[in-house]
Amino acid sequence: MKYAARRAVHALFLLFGISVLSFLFSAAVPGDYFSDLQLDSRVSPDTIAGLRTLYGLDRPLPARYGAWLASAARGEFGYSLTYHGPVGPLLGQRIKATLLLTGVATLLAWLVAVPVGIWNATHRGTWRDSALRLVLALMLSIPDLLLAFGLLVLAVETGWFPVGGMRSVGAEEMGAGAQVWDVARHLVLPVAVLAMGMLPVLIRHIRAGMSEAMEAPFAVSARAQGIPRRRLLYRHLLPAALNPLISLFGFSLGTLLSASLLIEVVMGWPGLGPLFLEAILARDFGVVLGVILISATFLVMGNLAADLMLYWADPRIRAGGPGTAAGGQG
Amino acid sequence: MKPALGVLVLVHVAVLGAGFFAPYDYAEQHREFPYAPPTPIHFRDWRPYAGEYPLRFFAKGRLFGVDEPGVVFLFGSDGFGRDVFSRVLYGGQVSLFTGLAACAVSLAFGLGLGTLAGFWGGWVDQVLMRGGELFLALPWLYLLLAVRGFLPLHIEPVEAFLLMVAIIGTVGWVRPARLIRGVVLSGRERGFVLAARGFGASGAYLIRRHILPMTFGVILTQATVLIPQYILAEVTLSFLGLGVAEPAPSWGNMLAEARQYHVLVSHPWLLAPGLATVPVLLGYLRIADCVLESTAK
Amino acid sequence: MLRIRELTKVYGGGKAPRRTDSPPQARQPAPQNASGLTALRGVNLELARGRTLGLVGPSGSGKSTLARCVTWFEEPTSGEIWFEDRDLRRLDARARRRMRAEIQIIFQEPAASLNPRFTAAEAVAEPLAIQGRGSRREQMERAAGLMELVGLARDAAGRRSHEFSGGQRQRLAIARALALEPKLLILDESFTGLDVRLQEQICGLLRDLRQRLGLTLLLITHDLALAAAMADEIAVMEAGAIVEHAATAELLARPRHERTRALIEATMALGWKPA
Repeated sequence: MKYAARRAVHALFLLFGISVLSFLFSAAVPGDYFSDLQLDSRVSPDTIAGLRTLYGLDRPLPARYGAWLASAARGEFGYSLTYHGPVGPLLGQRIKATLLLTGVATLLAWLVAVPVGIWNATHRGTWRDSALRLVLALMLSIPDLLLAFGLLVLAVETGWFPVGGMRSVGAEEMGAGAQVWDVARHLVLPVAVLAMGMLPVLIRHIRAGMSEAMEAPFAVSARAQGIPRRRLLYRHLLPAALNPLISLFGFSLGTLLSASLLIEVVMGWPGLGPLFLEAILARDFGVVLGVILISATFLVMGNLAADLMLYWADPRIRAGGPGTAAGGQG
Repeated sequence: MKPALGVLVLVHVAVLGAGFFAPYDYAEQHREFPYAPPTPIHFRDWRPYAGEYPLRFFAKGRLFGVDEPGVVFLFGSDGFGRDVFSRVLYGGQVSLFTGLAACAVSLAFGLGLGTLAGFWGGWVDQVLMRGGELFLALPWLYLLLAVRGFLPLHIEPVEAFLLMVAIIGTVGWVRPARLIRGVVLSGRERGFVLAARGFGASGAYLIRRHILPMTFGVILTQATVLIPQYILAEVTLSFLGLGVAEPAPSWGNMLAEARQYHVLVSHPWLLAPGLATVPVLLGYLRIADCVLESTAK
Repeated sequence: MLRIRELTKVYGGGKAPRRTDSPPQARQPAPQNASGLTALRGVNLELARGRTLGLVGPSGSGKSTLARCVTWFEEPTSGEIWFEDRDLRRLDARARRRMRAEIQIIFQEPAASLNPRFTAAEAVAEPLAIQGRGSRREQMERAAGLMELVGLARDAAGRRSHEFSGGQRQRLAIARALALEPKLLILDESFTGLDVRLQEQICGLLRDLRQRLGLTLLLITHDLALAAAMADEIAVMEAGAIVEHAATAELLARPRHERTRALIEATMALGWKPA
C-alpha cells in the first residue's frame, strides 16, 4: 500500500508539473486567439484589447494559472474561445468517441496479439515463422496514413462501409438498435487501421518476452524434466513473460486517448484528435491545454496502473531488489 | 541486411540527386494535364517512348525527359499538373533528411545529457531524470503538435524544415538519454575505468577514451529506431499543415491533397509519396533487427 | 615509507567510534552502529621501504578498504596516511596526480581491469598517456619494454587484450602498473582466480621485479600461504582492525592472536606447511 501511495503521489506531482509547464509555454508563445483578428484592419486595436480583457488574457500569469486551476476543480478546465463555453464538457463528449474507437481497437489488437505472439514464439525457425515475420515487418512499414487512405478508397469503391464520420446523416431519427448498428458500421474502418497499427508492435513484444522466458534456465530445466508443453506454457512461461507484457499493457492503457489522433483526423471520427488540431490552428489555448492535460493524465495513469500491477505480480519488485523502482535508484 | 542497406542507399541517393534524377522541377506546373494518370512507357525498336515522344537522356542536366509538348509523368500528375514522381524525389529530401537530422539532434542531446547524468550523478542526475519524466508523460504526437502549433504558423519552407528538425529532435531526447545514462552508469564502475582513475585520469579523459566507445552500440540501435519514427513525424506534421508548406513538397504535404477522398479514389497515384515510405521504413526495420540480433550475441 | 595512523572509515555517515584498546579482541563481525557500517577502526600500520607486507584476513575485514583509502578511491572518515613523510590527505589535485604515479594498485580481476578494446601496448602505455609522459612513440616503446620485463613477447603488443589468457592479462596489469615507476605497489587479491601454477609464476615474477626495481609491496590476500611465501611481514586484520603484525617467521611460529591461529590452522588443513 505504501508503494501504491508513493507512486500515486509521484503521478500527481508529475501532472501538476505538466500543467504548470504547459501553461507557461502557452503564455510564452507569441500571439493568441485574437492574433489573426489583429491582422484584420477593420477591427480596431481597442476592440481587440477589450476582447482580451474580457477573456482575462491580459492578467498576470500566476493569476491566470490560479483561475485556471479553480476552473479545473470545477470540472470546466478553462474556457474555449472557439466554442464559447467551458472546455470540460467539450472534452467529455469527444473523449467518449475517442475511447470507443481506441478501446475497441486495443481490445481487438490484444485479443489477436497474445495468441499469435505465443504461437510465434513456440514455432520459431519454421517457414511459418518467417512468413509471419515478413507480414509483420510489412505491417510495421506501412504508415497509418497510407492504410487509412487505402481503406477509405476501398470503402468508396465497394460501398460496404460508410466513408468516414461516426454517424450517418439522419441517425438521430433511427431507433436505438439501429443507431448502435450505425455507429458500429462506422467504427469498422478506423478500428481496423488502428488495430493493424498496434498489432505488429504487440506481437513482436509478446514474442520477444515469451522467447526470453523460454530460454531462461528454469524453462530449459523444466523441459528437461519432461513437463508437458501446455502446462509449461501457461503455468511457467507466461507468468515469467508477464513483466514486459504488463508494462506494455499499461502503455496501451495510457495511450487510449492519444493513439488515434491521426486516424480520427483522416477518417473524420469526431474524437479528441480533430478537436485538438482545430484548437491549435485557431490558437484556442484553453482547449489545447485541456486536451494535453487529459491525455497526459491517461498516460501517467496507465504507467501507474502498470507499476502497480507489476508490483502485485512480481515478487522480486516487492522485495525491492536493485534496479527496481521500489528498491535502489531507478 | 545487405539488401536492406542497398535499398536505403538507393532511395537516399535518388532523393539527394533529385535535381538529376527527376525529369521536372518540383514547382513546374502543366496546367493542361491536371490529374494525369501515370504515363505508360513502351518500347519501339528498343528505345523507350512516352506516347509519341521518345525519351531523351542527359538532356538539360537531367537523367531523362521528353521534348515539349510531351510529358512523362511516371507517377502521374497532381491537381496543378505537377509531376508526382519528381515531387516524390524532391519531397523525399525534406522527409528523409528531417528524419536523419532530427535523429542527430535527439542523439546529441541524449548523449550529452545522458553522459552528464550518468557520470556525475547526484542532483544533476535527479534533475535530468525528473525533467525527462515530464517529457515522457506527454503523448509524443500531441506534444509535437502542441509545440509546433504554439510557434508561428506561416513560415518559409527552409525555416519550417529547421523548426521541425529542432522540435522533433528536442522532444525525443529522453529515451536515448536514459539508455546512455545506463551505459555510463555501469561503464564508470568497470575495472579498467577504475584503473585509469588510479593513474590519475581526469573525468574528461575517462569519458573520451573509455566510456564514449561504450555508447556506440546504443547509439546505433537508437538511430535505427528513431529515424523511421521521425520520418513519419515529419510526414504527419506536414500532412496536418504544420510542417513544410506549398509549394515546397514533402511526402506529408503531398498526401494532404489526398485528403479529399473522392479525388483520391479517381486518382490513386496521389498516394505515391505514402507508398514511397514503405521501402524506407522496411529498410530501417530490417537493419534495426539485424543490429539487435548482433548485439544480443 | 608508508605510515597509517588511526585510520577509520565509516560508511553511511555518523561519527567514527572511539578506538577501543588493544589488538587482542574478541572476534566480532564488523559492527553496525546506529548510522553506518564501520569498515576500518583506528588502523595503525607501518611499512618500511623495500619490504613486502602481507595483509591477511577474511572477507569483510577491511583489507580492500584500506587499500582504497591509500589510493584515493575512498575518503577515510578520520586518521592519517603518510607516504614518505607527505600527508596524503592534504595534497592538492596536482600533487595527488603526481603521487598517483608513486603508489600503484593492481586489482583482482585481470580481465576486468583491461579495456577489451585496447591493444596490449595501449593498455600498458595508458598510464604514460594519462600522465602525459613522452611522445606516443616513446610510450609505445616503453610499453613494449615493460611487456618484455613481465615475460610477454614484444610482438604481442598489437593484440587486443581479450586475446590473452588470464595469467597473461595479469602480467599485462603488472606491466601497466610499473609504467609510472611506482615506489609502492599494492596488490589487492590479485592472485585469486589464478590456478596454483599461475600463482607461482606470477609470484616468481614479482620477486624478480621486486629485487630488480627495489619495489615495496603491499600484498592483500585472504590466502595465508601466499603471504607466507612472498612477504617479509604479515599483518592480520579482522573486523576493521589489525589484530597482529609481525615478521613472517615469527608470526607463523608464535601466533599471538586467536584469528592468526585460526588462519594458520585453516591453511594447514588444506595441506600447507609453514616453511
